[in-house]
Amino acid sequence: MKCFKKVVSLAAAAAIVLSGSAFATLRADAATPTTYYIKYDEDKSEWRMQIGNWDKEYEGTQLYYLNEGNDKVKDGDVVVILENDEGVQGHGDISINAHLSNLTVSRTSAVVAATGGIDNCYVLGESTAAISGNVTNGYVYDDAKCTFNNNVTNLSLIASQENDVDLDCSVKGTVAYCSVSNPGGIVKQYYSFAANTFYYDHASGLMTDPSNYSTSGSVPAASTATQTTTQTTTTASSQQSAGNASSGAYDDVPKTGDSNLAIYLFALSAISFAGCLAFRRKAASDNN
Amino acid sequence: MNNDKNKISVRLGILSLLFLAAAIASVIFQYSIGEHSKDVLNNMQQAVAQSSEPVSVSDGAVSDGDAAEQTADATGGADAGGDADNAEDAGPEPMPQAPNPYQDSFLANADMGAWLKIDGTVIDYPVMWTPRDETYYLYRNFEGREDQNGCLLLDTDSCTNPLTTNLIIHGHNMRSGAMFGSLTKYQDASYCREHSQITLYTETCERRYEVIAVFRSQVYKKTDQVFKFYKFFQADTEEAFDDFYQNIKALSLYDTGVTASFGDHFITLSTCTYHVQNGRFVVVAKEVEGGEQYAPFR
Repeated sequence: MKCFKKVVSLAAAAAIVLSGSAFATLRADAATPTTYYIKYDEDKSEWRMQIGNWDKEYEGTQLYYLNEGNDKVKDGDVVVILENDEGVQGHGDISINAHLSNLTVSRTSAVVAATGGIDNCYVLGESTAAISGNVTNGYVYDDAKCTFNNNVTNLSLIASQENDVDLDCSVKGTVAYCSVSNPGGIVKQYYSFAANTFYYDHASGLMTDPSNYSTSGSVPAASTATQTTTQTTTTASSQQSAGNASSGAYDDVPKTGDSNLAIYLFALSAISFAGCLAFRRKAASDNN
Repeated sequence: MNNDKNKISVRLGILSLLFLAAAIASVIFQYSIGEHSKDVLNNMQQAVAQSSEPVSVSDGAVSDGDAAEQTADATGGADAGGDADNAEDAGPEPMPQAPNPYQDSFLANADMGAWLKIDGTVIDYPVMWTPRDETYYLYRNFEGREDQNGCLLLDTDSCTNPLTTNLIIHGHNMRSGAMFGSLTKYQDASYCREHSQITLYTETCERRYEVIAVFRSQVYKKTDQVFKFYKFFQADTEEAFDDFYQNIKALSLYDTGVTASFGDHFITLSTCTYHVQNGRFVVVAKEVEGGEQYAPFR
């Protein structure tokens, strides 16, 4: 019986490996993303961090360990900057030596520098943030104040009420596409802002000179520069951008992948052979 | 009971052998077809290498029925617009015209739209252009025989005469490295620097290109409102041109140092990759001056 199980396990493993290579989609994914929570400690006058969640019983570790040691942040991780319990705004920069899949600034004041860039950056209401590092998708919500110090590919300004976009946002790099939306949907779209020209004022709306942007164009695809950094997260972000519109048929473009017919056949042969061996051994052991 | 197990075991064994035989037969079949295609290509390449030195031809514009038909196909098969600058827009002083080194190949198969060559790489192939069925040569060799390598395909919305702003060429990403199997090497900036010159030989002239952007993208859903590199063929306005240009530069894995402006022409080489579903690896090059004009041969 043991032998039978072993053979079946081996056959299953062989089948997985072979079919995996047959589909040619197996790749070395990055490890599961870790979520880092960061909160300002007023007593210590410094940022502290915890991993996985924020436990009020603990004060958290020094921010130094965000970039050093065994638990240091890696490409594809998530960082959430939380509101201080007493409502005190944070002081001091938060440097992150990685490419983040997500960064959220929640009702606090923070200066963040992500050296590898950020796939999705959320600046929630009542937050004040300065973000350094290229951002693929930036989301700034009502009542927030945000400065992006580098390029933003897709920038979404999101109002909580119709006809009242109450936020301030400036970008020192370029903005490929900007949408202004409220609960009713997208109300304005702008394209191709020149570097250091984007400024949206809560009272006056878009302050950029019309010569520095366009009102027509196409929404850029998720930046592939980030795709090369973290395969797993970019796959997700690419699919997200693809899924933005709706489901449906794909564009008609010739499929230029290599054929996997021979690999499929070899895999089926190996699986059949493994099954053959398993049954033979089972029959032999039953005889004994 | 044991008899049943033995029977199943035997049947599975036979099935395994059948699958194995089919797999081996498939490999051998593809190999033999591939070798035949290679021979055909080698012969064509040798014919080019042995072709005579360029000579000046004063006239000889022989325009037979086939040529006229092909021109009609070309104008009908692409959103080319009327402002294309093709080689036949000769000025008052005609340039000296050399014989086309790929003349025999063009004559051998009227579906051949051009010949693509990148020095220092295996990319040295005919490019097929079949407006009636874009994918006819996707799994056929130059002779029209079944071949998994297929041929390079010039997108049917692209056209060399009259020339569209962008010529998109699709090719299989073969594990063997054939066709566009080596195109992904362009993700390395140093490789790109060493192989930045791309040459396209059309019926009328030689077009030289320099790589301007290298990026990964994908085939999107029809309803997706995103930048689709494979939808850009003709820029009739500066805005349309800039939209394409800015997007490819933004997506590029690195800065090639090459820039473009409205009026320039591009060639886009595209092949499948697996970084996402329906992924594509794309190399875009801008046309530069210096290509030869060829004497008509039809």
